[in-house]
Amino acid sequence: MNEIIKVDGLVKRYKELIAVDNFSMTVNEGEILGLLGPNGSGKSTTINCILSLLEFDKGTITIMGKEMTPKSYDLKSQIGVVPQEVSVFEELTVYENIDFFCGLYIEDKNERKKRVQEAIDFVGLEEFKKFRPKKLSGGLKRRLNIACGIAHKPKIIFFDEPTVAVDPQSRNKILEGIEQLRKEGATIIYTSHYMEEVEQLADRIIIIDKGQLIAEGTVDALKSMIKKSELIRIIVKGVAEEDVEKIRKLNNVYSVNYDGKELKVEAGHGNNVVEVIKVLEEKGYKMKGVYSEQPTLNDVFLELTGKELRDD
Amino acid sequence: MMFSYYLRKALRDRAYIFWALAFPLLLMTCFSVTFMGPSKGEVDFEPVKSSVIYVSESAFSEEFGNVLQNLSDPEIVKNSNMGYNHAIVEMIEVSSQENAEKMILDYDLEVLFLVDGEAEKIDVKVGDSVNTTTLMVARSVVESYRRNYQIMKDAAMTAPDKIQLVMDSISDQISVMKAKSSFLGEDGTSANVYAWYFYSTIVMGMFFNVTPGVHTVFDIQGDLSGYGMRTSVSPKKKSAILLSSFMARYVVACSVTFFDLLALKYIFKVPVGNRILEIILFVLIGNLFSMSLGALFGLFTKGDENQRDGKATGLIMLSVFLSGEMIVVLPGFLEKYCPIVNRLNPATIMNFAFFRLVNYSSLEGFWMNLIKIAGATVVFLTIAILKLRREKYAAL
Repeated sequence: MNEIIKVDGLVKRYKELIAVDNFSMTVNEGEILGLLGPNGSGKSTTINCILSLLEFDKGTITIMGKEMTPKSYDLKSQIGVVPQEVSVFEELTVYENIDFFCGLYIEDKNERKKRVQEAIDFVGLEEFKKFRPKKLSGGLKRRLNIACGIAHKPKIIFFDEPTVAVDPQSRNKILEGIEQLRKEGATIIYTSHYMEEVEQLADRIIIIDKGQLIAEGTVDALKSMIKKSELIRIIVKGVAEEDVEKIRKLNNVYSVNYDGKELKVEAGHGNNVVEVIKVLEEKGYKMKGVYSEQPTLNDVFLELTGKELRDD
Repeated sequence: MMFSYYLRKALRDRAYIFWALAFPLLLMTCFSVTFMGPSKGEVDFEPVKSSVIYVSESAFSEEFGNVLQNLSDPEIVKNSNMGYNHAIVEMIEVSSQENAEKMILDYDLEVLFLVDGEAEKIDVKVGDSVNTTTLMVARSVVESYRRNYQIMKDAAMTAPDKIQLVMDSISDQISVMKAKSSFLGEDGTSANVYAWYFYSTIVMGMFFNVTPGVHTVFDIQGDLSGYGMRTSVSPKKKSAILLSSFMARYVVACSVTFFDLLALKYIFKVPVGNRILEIILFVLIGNLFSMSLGALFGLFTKGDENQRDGKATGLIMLSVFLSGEMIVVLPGFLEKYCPIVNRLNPATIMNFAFFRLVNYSSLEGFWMNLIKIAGATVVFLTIAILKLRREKYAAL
């Protein structure tokens, strides 16, 4: 795959604080790259440096093989941005907002008209196109925010936490839309601290914390990096301490907790559920429920950094 | 495209339209009801400290001296139909014109009448610090005398037996500070001290354009707003976006001021003079000043868009208040005790400029004031443009 964006050794300092610390990454053409990290981890700062909005202290950034600068107008015309906050003009209607921001890229009125209508259809705002933003719900405003960033059909689109404070219905619509954009050929850089979204969307994920790259790879590759692969929860009463100890000594099991009602077993790769159930059945315990949970990106983050990914 | 959208955006900004257009009109309506209605508009004042120097003598100058003597006699004024129970002027003897001018500078004298009897001409000299009431009294005296002296001359030609009657009535007909007839404005309409309130309101409306100045900055600065970020990331040149945004708002701002001026002239019947070119220049520079001041607030103060707008509006409200928007004698008071405020306060400078434009035959004062504001505008705009040209930020 072609490298469409390359960041090498990026450093950004705010006085004493190092927001981005020797960060390097590449984005391949046509992929959805998830940039995952807690609030304040340096995701947005990295994006803003790539967009040449922020001065940085060290490093190089190239887009399509060319150095990105504030005056790289040819590169800028290929880029679309969906900022974290809803960034539209309250005095203009939905249609006018999209037309205005599309007009920053496309001069031809007829071409613009076509693209604005396509963007409206894409985000499902047809019936609201004469509305002012203040009359839209939070989810619809987010959709408008997206439409303003994609109407000119950019090759590279940056989504900076586009689903913050959005209802589930709108969130699904937004995620489906992003998937559709990729299918149409766009390269997408998606930052979020919602791991489920990134897991659902991204072809490749970069985990960032304190401005440093913690890990990168596909979802499966990231999950395979950690020891824990499964959490088994069994609803069962009266398990004796000696039986809990027996489970603890099973292969792959490295943590067992029992509170008298629920048995929690953390295990590595292997046929763990069968082994645990076998021990309990042998002793005649009546199990009311058995659940097996696969590790999440939060588990990956927790194991790599020692803290939770989601802080809200 | 951008210009048209920024124009729509400015015209649909309800808060701005209210403060720049509706609020001044409401205020002018209140002033009109309060000051300009029937039997309104009288204000009391201290007798004006005046002296007279005769450059040459004639019946014209002799009669003017008599009028001043009558106006300085409280009993004569009380018994006249002027409606005051005190003297209009307090005559002070001076030895020479130089001496009188020095006394004006020392605040010992307020008005010096220079009477050229042969040319039938009266010049009025006042200090820079003269308050509007004093100015109106002086002008009322001179203008009324001129009108009535003409009547007297006509009477001498056509009805000599009535001349004494006319002469006796001259003092009575000097109607100082009466609304609607206190003195003739340069365009032939009448004006009075309350015009100051209206002019101040026009200036206030212009100064509310600090708000579009703040908005212009936020529209294009990537470190201040999301839409600024969008425009910064776009391939459009920042200077083109800045020009569109600024010019659209500037056009709306100037149109609003012209509308206010038309309302002043045709609805509220307050004279605005007939110096059209100077008025246009006054409006263009005044609005440019307030927008550039707003741009500085947008760039250099802290807080979100509304907070920065609030700070800018707060400052201009203070400026407008100190210029006499609510208390017409405040600039005179400040001139006496803290003149630096009047020299630095842009609203006072603009008020004086407009007042002089409408009421003075000489435009020297108008130009001096306008140049001060234009100079400040150039400085503000230069700083703002230098700062706005940056396309990469230290922080977002």
